[in-house]
Amino acid sequence: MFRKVLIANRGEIAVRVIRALREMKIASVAIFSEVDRRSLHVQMADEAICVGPAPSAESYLVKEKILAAAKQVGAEAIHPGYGFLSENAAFAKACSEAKIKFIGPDWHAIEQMGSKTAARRVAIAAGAPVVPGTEQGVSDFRAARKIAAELGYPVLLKAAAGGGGKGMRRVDKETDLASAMSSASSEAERAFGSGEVYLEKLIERPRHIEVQVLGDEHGNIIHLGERECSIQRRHQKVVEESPSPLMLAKPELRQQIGEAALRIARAVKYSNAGTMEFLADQKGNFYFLEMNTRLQVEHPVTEWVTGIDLVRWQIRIAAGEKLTIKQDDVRWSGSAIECRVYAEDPENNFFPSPGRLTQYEEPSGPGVRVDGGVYPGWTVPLDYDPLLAKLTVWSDTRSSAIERMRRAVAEYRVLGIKTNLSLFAQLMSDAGWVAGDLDTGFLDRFMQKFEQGKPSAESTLASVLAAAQIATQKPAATHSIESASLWRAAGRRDLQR
Amino acid sequence: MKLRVEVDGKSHVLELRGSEYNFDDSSGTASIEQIKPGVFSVLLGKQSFRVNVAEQGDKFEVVNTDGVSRLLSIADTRDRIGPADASASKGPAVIRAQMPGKIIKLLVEVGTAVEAGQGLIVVEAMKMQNEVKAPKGGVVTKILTTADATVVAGETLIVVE
Repeated sequence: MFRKVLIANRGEIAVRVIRALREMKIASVAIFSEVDRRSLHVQMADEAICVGPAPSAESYLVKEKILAAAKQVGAEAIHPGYGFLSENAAFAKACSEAKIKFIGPDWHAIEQMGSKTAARRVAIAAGAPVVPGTEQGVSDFRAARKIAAELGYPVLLKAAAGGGGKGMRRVDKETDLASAMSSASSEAERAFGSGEVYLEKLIERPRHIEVQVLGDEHGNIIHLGERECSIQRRHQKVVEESPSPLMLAKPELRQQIGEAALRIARAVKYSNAGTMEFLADQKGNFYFLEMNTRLQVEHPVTEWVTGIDLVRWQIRIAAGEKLTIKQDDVRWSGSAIECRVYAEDPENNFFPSPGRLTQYEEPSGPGVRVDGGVYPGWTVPLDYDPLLAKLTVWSDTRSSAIERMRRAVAEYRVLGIKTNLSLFAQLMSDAGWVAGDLDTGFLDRFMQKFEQGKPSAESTLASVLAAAQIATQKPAATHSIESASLWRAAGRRDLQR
Repeated sequence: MKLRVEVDGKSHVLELRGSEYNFDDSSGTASIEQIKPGVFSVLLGKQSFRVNVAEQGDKFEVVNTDGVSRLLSIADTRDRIGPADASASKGPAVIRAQMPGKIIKLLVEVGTAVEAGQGLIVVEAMKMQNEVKAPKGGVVTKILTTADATVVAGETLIVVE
């Protein structure tokens, strides 16, 4: 086993890895940028090395600096966390050349699964389902009509040369195909200089479901079931859970999607922890999208329901140990939900809300886990992802897990900056969410009707009386605005000019 | 002491005399103790509320037992307070960068007529893109930045008149 491991990351995931290392009696080394000097992961690690200024391109993303730090302290392995260099094949290769173990898959697998189109080809060759469609442009109407009939309506026309919705058309029936093709093609021509369009089967109200895989370096690989990640905003996951409510209705689906994930993983001789992302339709048909060749942000929900510590296993596997868990040993118990607590304002279009945490109190009690990277008095820097902490709960059923999450959110106190906690408070009471009737458009629709919960008259009065204690102790003066919605505050100041 | 309180867009009057209060039409006695800095125990009759309070600019951020965070403003009734009204604002609105960030896209040009709330520029800060909206209606008279520019706090970006 390793004696010392460097964590090439920051924030909550660095803290998570340090905790696993400490449990395994392995010394931990943090790296940090100048602005992160006071951050929690630096305080918790056994050693910490500064790797440069705040911009990640000059610190957390500089391979040479990180490898030099690892050599300086004598670290035998590097855990990359998620984000930053975690899916950078060149970094994994450089680690291997420097005789420092990269805690993750072999760099060949990272490279192979790094491109969506290459990963799609691997999946097709491995016999896993992908979203049906043509990969090349179709210019001839008769060919398009034939393909569309094979795919089955509705189909989606997409510009071959670009994305962003330009040149995209939904076609529900054959009689609409000709006009949709010509308008999509001319729009694509104007936007990208190429009128080429291709066809894809349209997955209506898709759910985002992913499968956790875990393999060792001796050819053993298992799946640990699925996570449902349909609660997203701008393709950013916000709430994740395991099991997926879809599996509660169709238990046989877990084995099918798990086996599909394993076929793909075996095709690239995958080792360590990885995740296959799928789109699923409401009937339970699923299609491979892409692979994340690293630990996922939302790994705690899988840890809760399987009882398997993914980070510990990542380290053991990297150290050459054999996976002692067989597929048949994996049991799923109860229901786990994770909410990502971000420094952002749900009432102001989720604008980032950096600043100082004037007060910070985490929930605790039965079935509650907080993977945090912050503490009271910490100033959230502007330079990185605004994730403060992941709040995860477990209970024996999905409905009691939802009740537990509602309770835990109410215990959570963050003052000084805006967070999306109020969104979770409302979401946990939403009938659609409680019913598990999810798709990737759920959160956008939910936000249309989102409003802060209204407190009782007594509660409002108590709040006012408490605030008056502070207000009446101070002389009337204009206070400087330190944080919160700086952009909005700027707008307000300008109005008052 | 007579205070004007604004919470959730509504105005209230709070009068305090020792432990007695008048809040709009209701009155009674309350016992308030500080648990630790910024955290208060408020007893209304026999019911206890635990309230976190933090100053937030010229307002107060409170989180009560229900866990919901809200902003309220408190002023002595002798001071004139009132929310800024966008339609009543005069003169040019200067949109400045209040955080370091990167300009992703300009959505308007000099001469573009904009309405209040219309998107002007897309800025990326903390890895997230957001639209900066016009605080008032008018015409874009100056654009002092370009797409892809990195801006520092305080830099003037756009002027709407």
